[in-house]
Amino acid sequence: MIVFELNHTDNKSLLQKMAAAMGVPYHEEDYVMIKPPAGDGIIKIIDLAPELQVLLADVEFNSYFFARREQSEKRYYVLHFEDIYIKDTAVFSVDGEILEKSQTRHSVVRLTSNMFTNTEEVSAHTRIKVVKVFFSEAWLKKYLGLQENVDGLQQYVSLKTACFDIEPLDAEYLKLMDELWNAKKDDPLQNIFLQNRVTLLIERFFSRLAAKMKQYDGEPDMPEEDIQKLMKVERVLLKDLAEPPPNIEELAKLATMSATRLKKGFKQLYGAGIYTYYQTVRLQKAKEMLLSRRYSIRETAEAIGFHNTANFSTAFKKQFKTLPSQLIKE
Amino acid sequence: MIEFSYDYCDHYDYLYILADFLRVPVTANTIWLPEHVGSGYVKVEKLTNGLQVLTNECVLNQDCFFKRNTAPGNHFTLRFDEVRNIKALSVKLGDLVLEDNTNIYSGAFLSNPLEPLEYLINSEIEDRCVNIYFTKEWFQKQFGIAADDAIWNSILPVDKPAIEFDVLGIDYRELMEDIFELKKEQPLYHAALQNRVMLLLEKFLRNAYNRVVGTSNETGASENDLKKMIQVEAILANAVGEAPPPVPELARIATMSETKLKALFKKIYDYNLYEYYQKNRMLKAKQLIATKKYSVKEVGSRLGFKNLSNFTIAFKKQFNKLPSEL
Repeated sequence: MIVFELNHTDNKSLLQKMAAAMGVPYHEEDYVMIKPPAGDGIIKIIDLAPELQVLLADVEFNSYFFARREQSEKRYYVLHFEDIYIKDTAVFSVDGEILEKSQTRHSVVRLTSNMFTNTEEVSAHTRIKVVKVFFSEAWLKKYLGLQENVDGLQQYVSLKTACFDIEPLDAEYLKLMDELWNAKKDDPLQNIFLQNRVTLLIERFFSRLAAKMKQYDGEPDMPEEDIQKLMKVERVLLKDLAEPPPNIEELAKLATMSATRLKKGFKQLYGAGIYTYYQTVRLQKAKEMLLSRRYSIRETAEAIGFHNTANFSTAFKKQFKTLPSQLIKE
Repeated sequence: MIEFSYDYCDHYDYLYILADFLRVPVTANTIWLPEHVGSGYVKVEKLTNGLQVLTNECVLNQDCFFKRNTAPGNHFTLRFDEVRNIKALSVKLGDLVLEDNTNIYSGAFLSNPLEPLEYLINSEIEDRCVNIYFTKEWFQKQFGIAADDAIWNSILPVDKPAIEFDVLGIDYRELMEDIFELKKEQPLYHAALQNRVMLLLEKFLRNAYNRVVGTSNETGASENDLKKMIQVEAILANAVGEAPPPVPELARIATMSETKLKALFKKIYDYNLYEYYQKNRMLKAKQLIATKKYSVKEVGSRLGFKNLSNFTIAFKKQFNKLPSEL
């Protein structure tokens, strides 16, 4: 079992401790390669600007992982972009409120702050792919161009970080996360490239938050119950990419709503139609598999449900403007 | 003809000098052109990361000649222009001479105070411009670049004139379009503006860097070829309401083979001729819809779509949204 007590303001010394505990070196460029027996993967920290830091992790631990972030003095926020395939169970808590999930894909954006204690526990062998953006209250205020309490956004942010206000990772978020992961090491503009993508992620989260607030003022936009149902649909849709996806009728039945309402709601929540979203996610997965260099094109195609590699290549090219074979060559 | 001459300075000083010259007030860092000059505005904003951005959208009622004189200082301006209704346009910045009479000009160029800039434009011209001002120090700090980095010092020199030019492909245009569509009242106005401006800057500097180190896509295109491609792009960008000229005709205009034309265009603008035409047309559609002056149907037919549903499908393909959802 791995247990970590986290301090919001010093991720680097935390990562150093983690490296020491797992017996792997901490690299000068602020990254750690996790290796067996502890697990497999990479965690890195990048300072983008004063009071703006990002942590990228793509890792699988071989034992149970527990992290707790205590309250602390200086006001900090963390924006979590989490794409986690939960092997057994995962439990997230904010200020005592608990969210438990098992054997599912947890793919959400959520905002937390250090005004409240947060914990995360994940069972062994769970693939954790996350982007965590850390910023101070002062940074956020400056970035959003807020004077004092304009729009009540700030108040809302404080309130919301006291509980779970999660938003699904939609196609646009996934695309930006992917760009962060695929940043080239020798890019002469690497810092600004990363900074621009991270700020786009933040902008997108907060502009959606602001849009939601507007809706709360007037007509409620989508009932919480519907959001839960649609998130369930998303999980079922992506449960097994090797098999053909359920059809709309099956999904509608599952969500106990009409096909029309399902399609409309899904699009509103995830920013793309059901099958467009399905296609984006599975091709994304294929890209990851290919880049890992552990799978052939044929194996990758099979894993995401294509039995014909030519069809796979065509779909891949349509999505990424490059053929799988070209991607491997790069 | 209006002749305006000033010394190189930052955007705020420029705005006040211009306001003084035109005898108009500055309100909220914005000036509105007086009627004898034209209609439209010039606006300056400071981003939270320290960048100064000048935007203007205007139509001129008189020919104008701007002359920017040299001055000391360690700073740069990067100007993105989309100009329509050109009869005579001439931009002179040292060796860089742009003369255009193909109706549309769009381009971006970087300059510093060490070279005078002359800008001549005819009346009735429509100009949309995003102009970024930054100091060398700001660049080094923000981009995490060492002061002695030789490549960056050749792109952003302090002891000799800086001259970098880039053509405006569809990606730049989409960002500019986003910037002009931002509404001051929207909650994340500042963040959204800053992000788009930074993306413009990133893209321009990346291309400039690639040209210097020679990994650019444009390797092999002579200056002459580049000028021809800009001409072809202008024709495509212009042909929004009708079908673009067929490839053989474009090849004749560019005086090169069809194969060379297609390959070169794709290298420089990242898209095939037809894809580019289509993308540009949809961008124009978005622009027209944003004005709220036309119905979706009117926009579709203005852009030469006989069938409205073909228009909505093409629109959706590009922006992931139906025109009616805008």
